[in-house]
Amino acid sequence: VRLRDPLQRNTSLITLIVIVVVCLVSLGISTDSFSVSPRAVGQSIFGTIERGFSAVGGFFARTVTSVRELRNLRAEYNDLVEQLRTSERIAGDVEALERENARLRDVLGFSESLEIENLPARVIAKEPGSFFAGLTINKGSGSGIRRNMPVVANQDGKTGLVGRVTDVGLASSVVMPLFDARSYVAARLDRSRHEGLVRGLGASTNMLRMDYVSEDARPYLQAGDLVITSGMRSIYPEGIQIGIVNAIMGEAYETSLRIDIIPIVDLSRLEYVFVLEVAD
Amino acid sequence: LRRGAVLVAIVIAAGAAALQSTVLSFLAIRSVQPDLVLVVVIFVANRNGSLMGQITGLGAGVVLDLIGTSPLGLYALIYTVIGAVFGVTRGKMFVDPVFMPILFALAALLIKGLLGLILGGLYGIAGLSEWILSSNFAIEIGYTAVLCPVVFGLLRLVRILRPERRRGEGF
Repeated sequence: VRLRDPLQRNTSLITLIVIVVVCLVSLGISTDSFSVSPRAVGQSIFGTIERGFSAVGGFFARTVTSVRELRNLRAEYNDLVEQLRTSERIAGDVEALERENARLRDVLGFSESLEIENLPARVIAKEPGSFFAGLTINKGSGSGIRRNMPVVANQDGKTGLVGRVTDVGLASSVVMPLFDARSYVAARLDRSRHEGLVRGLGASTNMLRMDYVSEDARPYLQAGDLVITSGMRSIYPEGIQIGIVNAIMGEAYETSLRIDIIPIVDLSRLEYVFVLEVAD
Repeated sequence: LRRGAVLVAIVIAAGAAALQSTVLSFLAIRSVQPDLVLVVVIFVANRNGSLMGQITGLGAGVVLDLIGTSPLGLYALIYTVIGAVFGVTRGKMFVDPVFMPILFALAALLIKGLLGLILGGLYGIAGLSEWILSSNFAIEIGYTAVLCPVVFGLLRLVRILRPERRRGEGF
């Protein structure tokens, strides 16, 4: 009963299918156009399946290949990044070396251009104590440095006085800068030729003051005038630039003027100096 | 007196001086650097007492006098006195990691300034009083005080600078 139930229920459908199939076969035979061969059907079915498999297989193959390529690309990318970093580092080093080279050429050129015999030296340290502002250079008695030798530097195309050597070791020396309050230099105003004495105002100001300039010089002076060494009974040779006049002070009843001077050389960015070999 | 500890303390102070003259000059504020040597002296004095503080101060001061343009004996005297003064504080006060080191640095720098003024006046050392009375000295005080707790923290790691316990002394 159970087996017959579905047949009984779908009788019409089954009948329809049978009729349609019979008709189609009959039609094909009668018109001689029955071209569906089992081989072709099998080929079509298997072809479709094969295409499906091929597509799926291709997809997986491409995916695996892509993953492998991605891994290779990542490795190549990392290599390239590393190479780029190395190149940048080398380029930075080359740039720094070129700058250093240019600086050293400047130093060498300047050293040769100075009329006075000189010893180029590098500033290697600054005074650790706070009260004073000495500089330590990398040349000592072994290089021919002696106490009280004048020290100059070339900065922004100008040659300026830095100070004098106060202590000498075998391979290093200490330079007392011009603005130290214990430093005195016989000086002259370059334009008016008036003389005076330049002293440092101490490490707290980094400024200089020129004293003992005659009151008569006032009409001939102005801010911006150049002050140079006079060479008068001094350890410093004549004609070295000291600084620029910043302010002129002095009351009418005073016999001399006080002139504030800005040093030519900025010690805070000093790298190389030249110790002048002058006769004792 | 522990000779090894004194030697190590002086070497550390000399190292601080070398640091000040080279690396710290690049970190200077308006050309003013912190006084790390002074911090080393007050640390050693506070931990080990007046005698070791004085000797460390003397050694550190002589180093500063020798490598700079200061008159020989100026820093030696100032740092010796500071070492002696701060040695008195040994075991008498609790030194926390931050507040007390700052207070110590402020007090030590004020003593340094005062002694500088006195010695500058007595010996006619040009430029000394001007520097102490300038804003630069205020910067030095502030800069050193800020760094003092850090330096104290580092020095606490140096085993040999730790104080010896006196007989019968507890924690």
